[in-house]
Amino acid sequence: MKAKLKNTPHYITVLPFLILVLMFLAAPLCNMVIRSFFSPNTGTYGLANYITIFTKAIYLSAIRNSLYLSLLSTIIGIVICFFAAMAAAYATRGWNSKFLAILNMVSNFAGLPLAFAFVIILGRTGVLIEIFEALGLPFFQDFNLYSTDGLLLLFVYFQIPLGTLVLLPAFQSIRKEWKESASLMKANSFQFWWHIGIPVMLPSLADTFSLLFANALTAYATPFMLMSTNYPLLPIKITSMFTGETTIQQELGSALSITMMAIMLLMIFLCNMVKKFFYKGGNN
Amino acid sequence: MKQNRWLPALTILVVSIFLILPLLILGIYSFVTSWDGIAPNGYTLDFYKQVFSDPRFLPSLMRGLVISIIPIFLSGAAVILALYTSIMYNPRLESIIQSICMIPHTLKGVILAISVLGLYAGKGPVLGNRIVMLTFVYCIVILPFIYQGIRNNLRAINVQQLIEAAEILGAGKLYAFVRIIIPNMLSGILISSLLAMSTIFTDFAIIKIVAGSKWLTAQQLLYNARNNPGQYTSAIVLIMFLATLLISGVAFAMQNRADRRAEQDSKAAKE
Repeated sequence: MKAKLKNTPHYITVLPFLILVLMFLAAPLCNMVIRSFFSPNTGTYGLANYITIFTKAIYLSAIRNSLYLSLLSTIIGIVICFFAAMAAAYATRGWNSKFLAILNMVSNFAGLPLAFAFVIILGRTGVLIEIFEALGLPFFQDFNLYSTDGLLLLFVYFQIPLGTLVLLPAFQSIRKEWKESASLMKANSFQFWWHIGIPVMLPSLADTFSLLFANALTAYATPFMLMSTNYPLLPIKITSMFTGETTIQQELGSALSITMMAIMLLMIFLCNMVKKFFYKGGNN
Repeated sequence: MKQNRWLPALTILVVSIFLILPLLILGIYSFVTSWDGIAPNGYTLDFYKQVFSDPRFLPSLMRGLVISIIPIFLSGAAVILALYTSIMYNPRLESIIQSICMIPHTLKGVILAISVLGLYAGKGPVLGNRIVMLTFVYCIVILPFIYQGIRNNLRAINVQQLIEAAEILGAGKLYAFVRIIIPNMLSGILISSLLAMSTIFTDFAIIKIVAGSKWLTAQQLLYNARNNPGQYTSAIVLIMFLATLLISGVAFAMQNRADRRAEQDSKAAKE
């Protein structure tokens, strides 16, 4: 008995963590998976909810919109982040530290406040729109913030500080000697980055890609503020199925959540494949 | 290869302008009477007066901060105790704890909130309570920050040696951990707490999903004010942004100081 008591305290200290994670992470997720296969109309388990999702136009368009916005904002974002991080890595110390301060500051500017700011400057009577109209410049004539284009702009905006901050350390792994040897072999800047720089950085780029993609895929506050529930997007559709004023369809919502998670995990898996492929290339 | 000096500067300038412009215009807009041409028509502080004279505003600002206190304590205590076990008795536990703590980072708030709501909504007065659910969802959401902060700090301390020394002096393991190791980790715990706090303070999705209108934070107040004049909402946004900046700015400054001290320590150790 005494020996037993002496042994138990070792693991008793893990218990709070275990209980917290089991009750509020593991159990809810398991419940969601099980429920996604349950159809309340027939009272049986099956694939009915998933069949609904992949056959009904409204859910298909939510998936399509989510994929389109997340992929495009990630691709545009990562290109901008790549050049921004490169600039920060090669800028003078003063420019670098000021830029870092701005990135850190702006990374706090997301979600609801960000959507409000864009409504003020580019909404129907936005400040920039009025200014350009007064100046007689037709830049924003066809621009509509409350559309896919508008959402894309906002998504790209919040990807930039995050992606740049995450990519910055990767540029420090590019050694000066490599650039020097490349230039001795008469490679120009573009050739250096295309053949050496980007392949070396590819693991970091892949990680950043999946991070930005997940970030855009699950963004809720920004699109909800701009379009409310009118625009079919996965997080918005899911949320309205659990909290909606009209009908609550938790089973279908669970299946839709699992679909969103599956898309996210698939992207992480693909990015890891890319990473592995390039690591292997390095060994051969 | 010639190192271009102006190209990086130009890139930084363009990106910075794109990032700062919305904030800048929003800031100016909160002070104008109206703005429908090239320049504002006049300036005023009226909208700030309006915001602060709303009796719900300051309490809602505080509510966003208050709701983060219990999750920080609960998650912090749970992670510290779990890491204590892994360090003292079973180092293999640590990679498991790390993987678990990183799950919320991958899944994000919407899915976590939905899954908890789906399981516990309507399940009795305690677990079914919206504020209780909200507290525990936040506990899970901040796990990655809490874990990383505490883990970084533990790496900088030689835990095993310190505890052995305390044991020689007659202290128990857990007593030594609480009295010696935790005080040594305070700055790390504080930094991760502030990061967790700013995450919760800027959250809208989770609170909207789990609490509905049962816990009115500044984010919800802002959302409810969406049909008010733009200057009014701009003023709220600016105040909230400054509050967020203050929280994460303090965390950032503390982190820098801790990094510098660690650097000095390792230099001193080398000499």
